[in-house]
Amino acid sequence: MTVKRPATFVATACLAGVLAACGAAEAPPTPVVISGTINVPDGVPTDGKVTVNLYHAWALDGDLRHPIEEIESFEATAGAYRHAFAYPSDRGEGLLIYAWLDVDGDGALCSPTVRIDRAGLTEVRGFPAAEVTADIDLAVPCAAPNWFYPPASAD
Amino acid sequence: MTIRLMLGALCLAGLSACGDAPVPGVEVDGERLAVVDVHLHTGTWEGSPPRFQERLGERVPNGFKWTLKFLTDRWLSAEHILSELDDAGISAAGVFSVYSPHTTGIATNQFVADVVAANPDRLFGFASIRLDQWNLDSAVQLAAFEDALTRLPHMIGVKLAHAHQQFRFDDARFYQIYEIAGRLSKPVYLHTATSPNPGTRLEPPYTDPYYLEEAIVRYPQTIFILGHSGWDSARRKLTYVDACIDLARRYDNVYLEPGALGAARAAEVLPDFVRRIKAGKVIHKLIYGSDGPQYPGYISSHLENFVAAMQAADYTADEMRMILAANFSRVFGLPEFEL
Repeated sequence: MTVKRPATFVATACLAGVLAACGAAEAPPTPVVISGTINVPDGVPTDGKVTVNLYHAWALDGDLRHPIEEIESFEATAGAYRHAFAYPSDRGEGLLIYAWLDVDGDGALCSPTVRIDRAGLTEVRGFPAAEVTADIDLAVPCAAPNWFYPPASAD
Repeated sequence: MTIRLMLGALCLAGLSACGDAPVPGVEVDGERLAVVDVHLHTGTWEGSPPRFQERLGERVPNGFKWTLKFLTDRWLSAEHILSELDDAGISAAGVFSVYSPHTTGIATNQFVADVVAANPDRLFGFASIRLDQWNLDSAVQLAAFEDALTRLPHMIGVKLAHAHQQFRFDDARFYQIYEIAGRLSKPVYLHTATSPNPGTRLEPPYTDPYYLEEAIVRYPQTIFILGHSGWDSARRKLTYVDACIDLARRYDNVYLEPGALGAARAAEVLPDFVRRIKAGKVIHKLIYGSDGPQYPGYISSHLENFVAAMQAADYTADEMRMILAANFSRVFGLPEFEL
């Protein structure tokens, strides 16, 4: 009897471990379509490439909880845009759309000496949703996503 | 390959345990030189984000991944770090705090202080600062950072990793960090270029050291140590090495560190790297570091590879003495290490 108990315990633990491993499948991503307008201030050339980055507003828990967790990126142009993507709902919460315009065409958001590229960020309200509309204003030179988010007066 | 390396290292460790005790230092031209490794990490499994845990788990076979928490916590402990230093013959080391929740996780300043306390004659702490909610809490974080540098014992420097912490080199909102470090005479170690860790920013504003030049000029009292010397680990190229050398040549407050360039991943570029350092006349600016402990035997093999590369490039014993320990002592205001 005293011999069987540890054996039973070990077998149960192994089975539980196997079952837990089998049950740890990731949730399927949610299809989402975003659309809107990428706006550029008057006087700024608009014919450059726009890089759009999609982020979770927040990810993880506890001490590791942090904002701006990247989902994916795509290229666009100033004006109307539309993009479909798979939202990984098990990796974070919310949706941020960040974009920057490569005014000088050098492939980087500003160089140490040329500071004319513009960036902007929009937090999508009413998310999650299968289809959302969000405009992005590219008004701030050389600004990274964390320049905008979380905002100083977070709600 | 990595698993074979680990098994091999474990076997070697077992054999060496049966042999003579390791001899401190490295032998060059008939004399032994002291070694300091400025760049080591500590931390915990719990403090690692899931994607980084997956990367750590790549080195462990399926069926044994349940051991990872135990192995990681043991491997990054003060006891094992000191054991690895002993095996490599290294006299002392810097241990880094990290606040990189997007990428490599969190090892707090207090945690590092506790690790360093295990042997403060050999371990030196580098404090860091949390940056991911800067618009909300910069004043709080700066106060905590300054408190860590002044209150916690044996904190000799600062560790930052722009690509891991996801803040631009040229973002002036963060420049107060450099002001504090300079005022307190704590040299700032900054990760330059890329890394293969998930979530690392690869764009030039986070990786190209020329984006840091404005801060270097604005804070001449602050010492900037350009970590990895521009080794573009994600692409396995020396992409930013010449930029780092150029900055080290032009500014008295810029130094270099070759962490991970002695790793197997960099084997093809290491000879070119040490050649560029010598040709660039910045040997007096290079402070040795490895980016360990990584896996069993890494700290030792990194040192062996780096010394072998320097010997192959005809570095003199005096030049190696500077790189391996003397530059560290000079920059951090510490006595020279003797064997």
